[in-house]
Amino acid sequence: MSRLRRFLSLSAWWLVPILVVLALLVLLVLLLDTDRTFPILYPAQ
Amino acid sequence: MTASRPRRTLRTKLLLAVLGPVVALGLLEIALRVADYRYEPWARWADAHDEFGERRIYAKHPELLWTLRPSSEIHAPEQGFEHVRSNAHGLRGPELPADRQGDEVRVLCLGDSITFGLGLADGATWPDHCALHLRAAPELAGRPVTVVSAAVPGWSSVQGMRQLDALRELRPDVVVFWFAMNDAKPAQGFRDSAQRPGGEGRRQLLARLRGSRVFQLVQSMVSESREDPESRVTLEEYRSAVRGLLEAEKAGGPPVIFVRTPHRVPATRRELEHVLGRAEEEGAREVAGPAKLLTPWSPAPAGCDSVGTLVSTPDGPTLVFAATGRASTVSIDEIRSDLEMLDGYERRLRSLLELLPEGSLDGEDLFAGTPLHANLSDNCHLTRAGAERTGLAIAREVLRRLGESR
Repeated sequence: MSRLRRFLSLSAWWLVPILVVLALLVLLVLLLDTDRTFPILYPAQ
Repeated sequence: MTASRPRRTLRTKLLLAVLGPVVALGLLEIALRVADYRYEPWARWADAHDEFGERRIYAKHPELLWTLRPSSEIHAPEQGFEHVRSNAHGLRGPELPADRQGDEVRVLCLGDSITFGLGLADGATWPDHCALHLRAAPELAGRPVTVVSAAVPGWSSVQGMRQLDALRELRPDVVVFWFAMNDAKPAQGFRDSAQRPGGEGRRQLLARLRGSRVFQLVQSMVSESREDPESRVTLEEYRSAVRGLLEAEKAGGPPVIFVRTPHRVPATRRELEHVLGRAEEEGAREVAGPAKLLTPWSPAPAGCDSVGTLVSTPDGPTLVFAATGRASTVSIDEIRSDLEMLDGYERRLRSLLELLPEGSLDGEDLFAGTPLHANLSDNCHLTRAGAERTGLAIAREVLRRLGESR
């Protein structure tokens, strides 16, 4: 039981930063991806 | 022994905290690359022609979303810019006039690439011709005339209304409002009124981040969770722009001339249907021909049909275009999806044009009874002759409205 708890507590340690990084990525998308200013859609290829 | 144990655990934990995300995200990136995962639905538009970057045709603008690159000479013939001179406001033509000269007549033309004169040289656009006619009009008895073309390719009515607000100080005598073609285009995730364009730094950072597939995955999840508007401008937004202009006119503002844009969209739809029908008869999966010609609003090269004729050749069915040597291949699915998009576009365009008030200048009336194809170089843009006739028709309307308001 205590081994399991120890494993979980270790796992949580590396899961949390991953979640934080993913949250940061979501935040970056929300902050940066706010426009589709393409003057001519479907431009001549 | 027992004292060092928690410290080691802490160190391990910190190491895992740093290495964990690096390894996990690295593995995810590798897995996505191996699976060739991509989320770049904008690539067809944004990257094919880097109009903000290298080509330097446009500059982003916090309110107007984009303008021409200010104070430049823009030369990109394949995109319809032949040594176009822009002023400090990012508009085509000379610097905007400052103080009014006594009895000067000022016309402000708000519009998109049609009014801008895509494909036409400086001096050959319809506002240029309109100015020539007004200057020669006996009704104005030699009064100075200034026609300001506040039109940028790709603009919608949302941008036009913001431009009108920004140019209030010009105090025009007549305003021309000619929008709808871009308003009806698909929104690509953002309505025009919801867009917040960033500067060059943000554009570059985003372009760099988009190189990562993990970032693309996150972006796809965020995009999926957003509402997906059908068109760049909603019917309600268009209606309120028109209403606002009419109300301002009633309250003593400048008279507004609305133009119901002429277009060949139904003809293109029929041509596409024909090509699709023939291709399906022949059992073809793809046809040869310049792909760009199948899209509803891209300008066709000079002297080229918008959609070619499907003929049988020993190599299978081939789409033949008049006067073009640049053949490529178009898949039947691509034609089918263009047709689907065109159906939606046409429906939205019709709905927008119905919102224009009675007494609007009807597109085809601009051309004095000459056939549409003599006046439009593609589905919507004016030929030299079309711009000339349009300039004359609008100049007449300006004179009529000036006479009424006097």
